[in-house]
Amino acid sequence: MNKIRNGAAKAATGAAALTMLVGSVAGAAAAQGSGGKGDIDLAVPAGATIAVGGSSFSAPLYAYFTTPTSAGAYKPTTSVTFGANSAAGSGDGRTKIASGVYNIGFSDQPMDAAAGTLPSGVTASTVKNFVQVPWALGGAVVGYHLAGLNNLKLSATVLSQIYNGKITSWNDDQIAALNPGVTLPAKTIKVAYRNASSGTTYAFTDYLAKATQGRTPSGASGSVMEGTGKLWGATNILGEANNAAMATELSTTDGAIGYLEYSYVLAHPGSIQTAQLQDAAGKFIAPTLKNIAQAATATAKTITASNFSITYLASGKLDVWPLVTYTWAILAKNQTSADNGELAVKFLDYATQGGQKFAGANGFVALPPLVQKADRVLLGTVVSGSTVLLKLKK
Amino acid sequence: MADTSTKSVTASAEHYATTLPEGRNRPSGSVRGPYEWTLIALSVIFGLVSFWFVGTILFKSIPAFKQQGFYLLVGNAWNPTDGTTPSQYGALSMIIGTVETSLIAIVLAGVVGMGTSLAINFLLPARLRTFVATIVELLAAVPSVVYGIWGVLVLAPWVASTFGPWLTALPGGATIFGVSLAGKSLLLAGIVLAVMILPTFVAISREVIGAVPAELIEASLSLGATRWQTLWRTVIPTSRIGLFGATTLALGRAFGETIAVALVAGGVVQMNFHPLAQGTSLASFIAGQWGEAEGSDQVPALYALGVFLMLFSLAFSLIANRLVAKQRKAAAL
Amino acid sequence: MSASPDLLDPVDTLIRDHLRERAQATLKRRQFVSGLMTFLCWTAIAIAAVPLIMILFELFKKGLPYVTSWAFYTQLPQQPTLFDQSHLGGISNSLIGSLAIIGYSCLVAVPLGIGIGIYMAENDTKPAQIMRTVIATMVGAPSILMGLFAFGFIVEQLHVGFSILAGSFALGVMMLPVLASATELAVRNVPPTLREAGLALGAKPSTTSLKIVLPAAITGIVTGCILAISRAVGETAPVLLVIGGTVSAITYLPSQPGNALPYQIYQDVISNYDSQKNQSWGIALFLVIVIFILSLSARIWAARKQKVRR
Repeated sequence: MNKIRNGAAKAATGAAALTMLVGSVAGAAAAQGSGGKGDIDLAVPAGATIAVGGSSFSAPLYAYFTTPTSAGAYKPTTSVTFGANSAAGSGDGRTKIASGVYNIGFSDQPMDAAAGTLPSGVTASTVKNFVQVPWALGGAVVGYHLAGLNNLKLSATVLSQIYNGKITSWNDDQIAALNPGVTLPAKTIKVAYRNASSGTTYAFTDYLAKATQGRTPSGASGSVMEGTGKLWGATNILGEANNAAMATELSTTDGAIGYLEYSYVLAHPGSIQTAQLQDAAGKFIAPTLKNIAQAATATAKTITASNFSITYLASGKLDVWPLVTYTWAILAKNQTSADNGELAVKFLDYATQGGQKFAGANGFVALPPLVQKADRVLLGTVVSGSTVLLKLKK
Repeated sequence: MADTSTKSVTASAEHYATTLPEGRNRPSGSVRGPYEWTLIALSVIFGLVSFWFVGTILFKSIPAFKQQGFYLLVGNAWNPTDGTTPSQYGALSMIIGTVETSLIAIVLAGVVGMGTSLAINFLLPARLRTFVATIVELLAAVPSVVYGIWGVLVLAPWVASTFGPWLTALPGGATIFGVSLAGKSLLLAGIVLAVMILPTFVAISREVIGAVPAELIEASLSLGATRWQTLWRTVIPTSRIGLFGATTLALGRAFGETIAVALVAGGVVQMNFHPLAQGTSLASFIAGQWGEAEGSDQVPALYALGVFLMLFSLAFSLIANRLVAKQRKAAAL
Repeated sequence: MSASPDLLDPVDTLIRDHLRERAQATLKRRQFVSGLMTFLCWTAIAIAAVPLIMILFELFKKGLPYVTSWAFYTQLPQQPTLFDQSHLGGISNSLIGSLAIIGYSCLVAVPLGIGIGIYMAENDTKPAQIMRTVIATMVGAPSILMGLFAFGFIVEQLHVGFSILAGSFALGVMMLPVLASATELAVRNVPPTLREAGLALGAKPSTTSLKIVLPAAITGIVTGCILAISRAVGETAPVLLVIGGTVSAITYLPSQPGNALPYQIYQDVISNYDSQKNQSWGIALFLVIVIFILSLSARIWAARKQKVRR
């Protein structure tokens, strides 16, 4: 008990600024997110146990929901157990949902034959045996370590040249041209990338490809290191196993640059600098939770149950962060254990509905209501035998 | 006989091939009862297991060899694809990374370890000797992951934030060391491996050197040889078979090490083998990619890395055994 | 022969002086080299000690608060969040998981390893010699290969999936050669006279082996077992590939996915939060203490046994 209070106190002091920053977003989310009516019955079969894991992009959020002591934890009325493994990546989420180790696998990309993200054992025809739910929304940011030089402006062209080894020093003319008046240090750029299958890599390279309209030299295609056989061209490179390793690297290594989910930056206050990136109209946008949230707002009307794409928009009245992505929860359509299956869908329903009001506090933004509705429909298709597992309160 | 079993608690299994007593110990009589049959059955099971062991790894790697052919050995890219373009899986940078990190490790650990074993046996007071020897053998049992976390949580941040900038600030430092002074590097992996194999090396070499007959040493000293001449001309040549065993064993541990290298080498596939650049090794790359390996062709490619590792290890143990046998023969003549 | 110096030929004296000078010079040089090398040996021991002491220091400094807390052993691990990084829970699942994995692997590997060890000690046939070579090779084989084997065989071929069974299998295969070689050594170290005495008294060869030779070799065999266990318990790589390792529920059945102490260390160390990275020292210290106790007790037990025998 005491410990919980300590934790809360720490949050209040240590992250006061952050809380204020996200306050408005969280409030808005609360208003649209959950209501008592139509909510899910919290009674799940006692003793149900599920294992979840995968995407390090969304790990901070599902770790928050599954940790019983967090304020916004999923708390059913019965005692259940989560096995959460947050220290992997999206590929792990897809591989282990396919092999049955996880009850819910998290991935920043859905399993999709066309995108080349089918894990072994899943084919284009068996992928329909899985339900894939967009369950959280987050921003990837470009982080670097140059003390005192926060908010540098970097264009997609410059970024792809850095990753291809064409630009190797921080005081390169092209970087200087984007940042007039800033004294750039003559430091070597150390290029950090994710050395295994990564959804964050996908989001980043997808952005580069779209923002340069494919004009970038080899290396900046939609899926560098993810499927097209193209490699980064930079020679001064650092490999990172997951978002956490990336954050650790960026917080310690002078001159390093990398891409990571925003909440990881929040967890290392002050030691990772973030870059401003251009939206589709060429306007430089700062990575803030507000701007990330506005990307979701901007697409709220165009979203359909099958098209959740929101990366790289032009800012209208609102500034929208160009590197925003949904992250997915994948579960088997036909659950072998009705008890565990019920827990899995009810947990995800909580995470996509009532739980969304805690997204801001974890560095994510709340799902738009349309997506929330779509999610509930998707979760309603999960069955065990012939029993539908998601029963709404009458 | 009395103390062989205790003395070599750490070492016995490891350099067992080189220390097996010559005398055999078998029952006379050729009648096979249930006891004998049980033993034979267990041995057959063992045969099957080891056969299946090699078979499984070979079998699982076949698709990769079919798909990649020779590229698997000489290629330097690791690109899983979505199937629209062909995947590329080449093990060259892992193989070179493995060799480089283990060589750094064995050179460091060999030099320091030799000096340490000589110092323990000939310089330390006798009372302290047993104590230090026990500590060394205990350290040899420390799991490699512990050395790994020390490397990644203590050494790497220190290099990244303190030592690296200091080196780069030296005159000419940026050109010599500028490659990639982040915390993790092939050199760091080599150093962590060296620290890891040091206790193993010392535990065995100390024992081997300690087994040199005291009369030999006394004879050498009485002829007027200095302490160092005695060590260099008498002790080391007499125990060279055992020392060789200790070296191959330590080297074997270094090149097969997975977790410690995975944590500190960076896991980067590239053809830049500057010690300060990041790289990877066969074993650590398998572990690093394992959880994320998707599609149908990446897992076989990782098995192919396993095949290379197995061949390395086999060649290694055959060469070591051959050399030991040869030296034995030479020593016996 | 024993002429006094004044009777010597002047040339002879010259040569002799020269030789003496040279001898003195080499002696000085030899003494200098010897002193230098002695100094270098001291340096080597210092260089060797520094990192090892640093590791032990770090291990105890950072790990002790965890190891001395009871909750550390009884709670399930918890994920830290941005606002609550101090709440980490414990290692109950990986502790039980490790016990289960080691237990199952011992169940099979110990009898099998001892059996083939005895077989090799008692037979010098061709098969026994081949087995010896295979075992010598397997002792040095990288442990991750056992993980690949267990994945291919248990996880995929037998469709067990990521499981405690697969982990036990991998560790069992790793322990086998250690057990077998230790047993063979121990049995071969029993004086042949003991066996001959048994046979001379009319005992069957099998009875001699079981009742006379084995009890005499038991010290070596048990120390071999403890060595094998202490090595397996800290082994990360093979376990990493096959046990799933995802579950923060306590699991111990062979078919369930599980967790293990070294696996949990690895997970903690690659986490985003410093608090969780710190916890890896706690688990590592616990593991090291367990291993130290195992090897020390084997040592003490063996020493005592020998005293009794004498």
